[in-house]
Amino acid sequence: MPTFVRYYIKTALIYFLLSLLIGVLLLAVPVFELSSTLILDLPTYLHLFVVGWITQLIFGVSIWMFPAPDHGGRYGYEKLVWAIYLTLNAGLLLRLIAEPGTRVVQDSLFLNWMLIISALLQWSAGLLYSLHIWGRVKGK
Amino acid sequence: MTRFSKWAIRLSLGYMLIGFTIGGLMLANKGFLILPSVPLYLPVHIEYMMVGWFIHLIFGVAYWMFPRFTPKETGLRPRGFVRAAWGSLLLLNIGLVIFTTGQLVTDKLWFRFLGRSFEVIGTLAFFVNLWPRIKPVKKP
Repeated sequence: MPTFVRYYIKTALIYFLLSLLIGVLLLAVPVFELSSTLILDLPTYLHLFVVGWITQLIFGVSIWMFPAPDHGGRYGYEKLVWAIYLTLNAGLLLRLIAEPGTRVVQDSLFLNWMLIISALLQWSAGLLYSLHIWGRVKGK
Repeated sequence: MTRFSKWAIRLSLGYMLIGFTIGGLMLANKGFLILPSVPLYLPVHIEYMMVGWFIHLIFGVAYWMFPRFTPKETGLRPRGFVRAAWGSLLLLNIGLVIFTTGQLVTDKLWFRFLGRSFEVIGTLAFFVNLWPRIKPVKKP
């Protein structure tokens, strides 16, 4: 298994555990009548699960297993594969901080810009992945 | 990779890009109000990600990679009924288009009900075709 695939899969597993933990904490708030704190935000939790865990796992495994591209070696251009990984995870981490943060600190220009950059980074990851994998979706 | 899988996976990539774009706009909108109507697209974003991205990808990869039939023994083509598979993909897409259009242009529930029904019938047809291929590998 190539290094970048290991990074994708291990990071996806970490997001899976993290999202499960946040899921437990989200339920702990009403059960133990706790006051809602900084980390407890439903959209953040859902995106850590769906993008951080499921989508990242799909990205990693498909880059590893799909037919070889016509150019750039067995897995395509490695720099592009790393760029997808970095943009996706940088975008998710910014979201993890900024989205719950805006509920605590209202009208923070810094946090608002973090949300914009997070959106751009995640969208770029999706676009780069599609460009990378498109040519590998082919017959023998 | 078969022609069916190629279409299903490329469609999934297209839907993922639309889903990511709507999601990115929704996230950016939390930072700065870009388009006030964007939060209304949440059900469409969820539909494109869940049915468009995940289900299409599952269709494409399962049809491609699951164990095949031996035509001499079963009288079937290696991947079962090819037209049934294409029919299921068509129904899924008709359902997705009706559901998302219904969500955007009308508040009449029957529109979404119709879309979701097409999606369910398409998925069911695909599973019926795939079911016999979930089998142990024959030892030589």
